Amino acid sequence: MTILRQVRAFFSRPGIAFTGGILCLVLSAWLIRGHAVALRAMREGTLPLLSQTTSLEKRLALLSRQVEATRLSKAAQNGSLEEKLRAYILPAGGTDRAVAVINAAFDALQKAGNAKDIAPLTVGDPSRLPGSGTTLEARPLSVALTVRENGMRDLLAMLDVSGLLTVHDVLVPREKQEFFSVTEVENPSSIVTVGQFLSADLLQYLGDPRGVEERLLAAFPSDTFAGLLHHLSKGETVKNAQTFLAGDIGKVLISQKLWPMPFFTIDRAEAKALTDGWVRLDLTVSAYGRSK
Amino acid sequence: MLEAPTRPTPTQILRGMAVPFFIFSLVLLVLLSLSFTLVLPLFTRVDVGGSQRTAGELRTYVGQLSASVLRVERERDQSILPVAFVAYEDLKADRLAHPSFAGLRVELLRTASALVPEKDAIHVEAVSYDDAARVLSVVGDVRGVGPRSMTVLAEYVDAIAKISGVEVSQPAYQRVDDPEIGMHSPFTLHLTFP
Repeated sequence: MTILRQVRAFFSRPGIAFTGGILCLVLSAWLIRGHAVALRAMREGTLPLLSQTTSLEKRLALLSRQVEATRLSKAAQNGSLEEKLRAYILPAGGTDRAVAVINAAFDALQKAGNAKDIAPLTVGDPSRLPGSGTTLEARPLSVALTVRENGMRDLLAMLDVSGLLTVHDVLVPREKQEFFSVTEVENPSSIVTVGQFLSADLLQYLGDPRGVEERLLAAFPSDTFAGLLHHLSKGETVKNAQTFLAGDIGKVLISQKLWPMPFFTIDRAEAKALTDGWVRLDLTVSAYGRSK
Repeated sequence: MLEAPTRPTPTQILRGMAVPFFIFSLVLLVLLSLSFTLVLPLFTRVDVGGSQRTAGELRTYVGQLSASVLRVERERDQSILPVAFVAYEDLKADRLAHPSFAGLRVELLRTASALVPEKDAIHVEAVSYDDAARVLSVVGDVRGVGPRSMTVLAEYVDAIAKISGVEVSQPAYQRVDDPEIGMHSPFTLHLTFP
């Protein structure tokens, strides 16, 4: 009864009813706007996101399958590459292999008449590099010699290809990404074959690229993939490495089993032109290894 | 005699309209509220990944999905590495990021010989590189081109500056007379790498 009386009292005051009506209309307008915003968001935001979601979900599933496949194949692999890396490229302590490589290079240049006036090689104290997991050290080696232009090119090419072990090592990040993208599009399950190709011995690949590529081409018979492999085998890094291995120093290093070489980087270099086509070369390089 | 009906005043009209107006507005508000809470979600929610999501939730989901794709992609790239040795990968990446002394020297000499037809007109005497400072210095002179030596030097500097990602310092432009090589413009250039 009290409620009914209050309702009757409310309706008997038209000012209040009018104000209440306007309030209800304002709230209704706000709700209409809410509908419009929600529907516009649906049309402009959700539909494009939906198509993106589908492709992302597909890619995630595909990548997960590839990870699983490579993990299984890794478990079956032996650790020979890692052993080579630890023994030859980043050996623990000492510089005997780095010195042997430089001496072999000087001998090769001298025999070919491309080097003279070789100053004694000096070896500095190692400095530790903070590594991820493994601590590396860099030991400076300083050399000075007079070389012919082609001898210098050979020597500097040696430093550029030092420390490389597999096909993977001559690929730049963009090339690796292209390989993976084509794999995803053409034959995702053959990622293991791509892994085997990337793990192939670089020396073997540089000697006979087609032989190493054959298995990969069988898994990816498309022109796109053939083009990628062609681009890789004709690329600057591979060409430089092939020229180096066919040169005086490369032949000696292979015959003396000094490939793969330790990892070198150039710290300082000066090439000064002398008379009769000779160049005086002063070099300080870092030879890397693992801390003992 | 019938009395003529009196015209209602605006106040009377408003008083008569107040209640129907209120009821209409209230019903409209109730219907819109029901539509907003019960009907609209049926049209604005989508079934993705096994659950109903609004536009905002979908955006979050796509963000999470993109992050997962990047993570698994990195995992795939790592798992395909021939040797799982992070320090070795870092060393290779670092060397790749640094300029190659051999490559740069060849480029400098090639640019010098291609710029002018006269042989050895841009004579590069010494090229030195300091990896810590990431600076390559070139010492030489422009000779055998008569009074054009300074112009040729400026062209050489411009040509070198086109090598990608390199900053070249401007040399002091001068013409010097030498009893052996005649009029020439000696230069020292410093190429800085980022």
